[in-house]
Amino acid sequence: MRRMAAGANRTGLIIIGLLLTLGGLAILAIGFGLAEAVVPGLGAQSDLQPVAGVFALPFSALLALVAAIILAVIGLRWLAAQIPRKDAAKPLRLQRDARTGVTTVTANVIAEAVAEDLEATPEVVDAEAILRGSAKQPELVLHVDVDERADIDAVVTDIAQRVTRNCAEALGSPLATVAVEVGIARTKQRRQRSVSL
Amino acid sequence: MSSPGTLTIADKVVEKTASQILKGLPGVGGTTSGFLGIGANSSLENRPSVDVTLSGRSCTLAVQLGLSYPSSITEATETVRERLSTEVEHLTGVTVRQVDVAVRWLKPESAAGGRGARSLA
Repeated sequence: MRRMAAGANRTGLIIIGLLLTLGGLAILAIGFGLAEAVVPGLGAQSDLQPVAGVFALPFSALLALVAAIILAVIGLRWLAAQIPRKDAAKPLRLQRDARTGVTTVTANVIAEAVAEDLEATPEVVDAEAILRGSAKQPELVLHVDVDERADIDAVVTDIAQRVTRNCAEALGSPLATVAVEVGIARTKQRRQRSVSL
Repeated sequence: MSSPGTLTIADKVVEKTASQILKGLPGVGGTTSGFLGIGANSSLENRPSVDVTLSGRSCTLAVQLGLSYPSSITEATETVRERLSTEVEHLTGVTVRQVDVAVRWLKPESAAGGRGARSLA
């Protein structure tokens, strides 16, 4: 239902991998004495004085502080990106001619109606919907919890034939994609106390 | 020769008129505000809320409403727009230039019976 930060993780891990690979190659180069060609005196037995010299500069502490702040910001943003998000669509504009006024409806309004419509399906205990995409290319993601004795085929058929049709009718355009996740309700369904004949 | 006098219409009058016009539209409802937002009730029986911005002898309307579901939001709001444009002008003499509509909720017909009691029909 919610989107994870897979792309951000891949990018971050690639950057860290590249940095570690470069660091490892540099250490290997120093170990094998290949670095002396680039930095004279930087050999396997050297005391790293040329490298240590960089850290002895008067503004080294300031540089280290700036680098630490940048790394902290990157780290926090990466951490924040791990929070799963709905990525719902932006408010939809559904008017025919904007010169006579605009019609706006949020994705949440549509999603709540779809979920409520879904919950009217017999055997569906709970439902959640997320509308993504745009007004022209709407995408619907559904999660339904059904009763453990439910006929899941019937529930999926009802979603395919009624629920998605209703949503498309409301939006005025066919749904580009519909994803359905079916779960089994863990709690017992509320006992029915009456019946209408 | 004395002037026949002037007719002044307050913006609140236009708002109430527009709101009352919408109350008669099937499948269109509103939300009662309740007390400090507590006890707010969204229903197709309530009047939608309308804000008016007057500019000379014309106005723009901002409508907040709910609709029955499923029905085409575009079609329903175009009907709202057309009805307001013609009837507000007819009743008040103020020309409606634009009608902005914000759909705040959708009420599925299937949910009207509630979930506790299910029909065998």
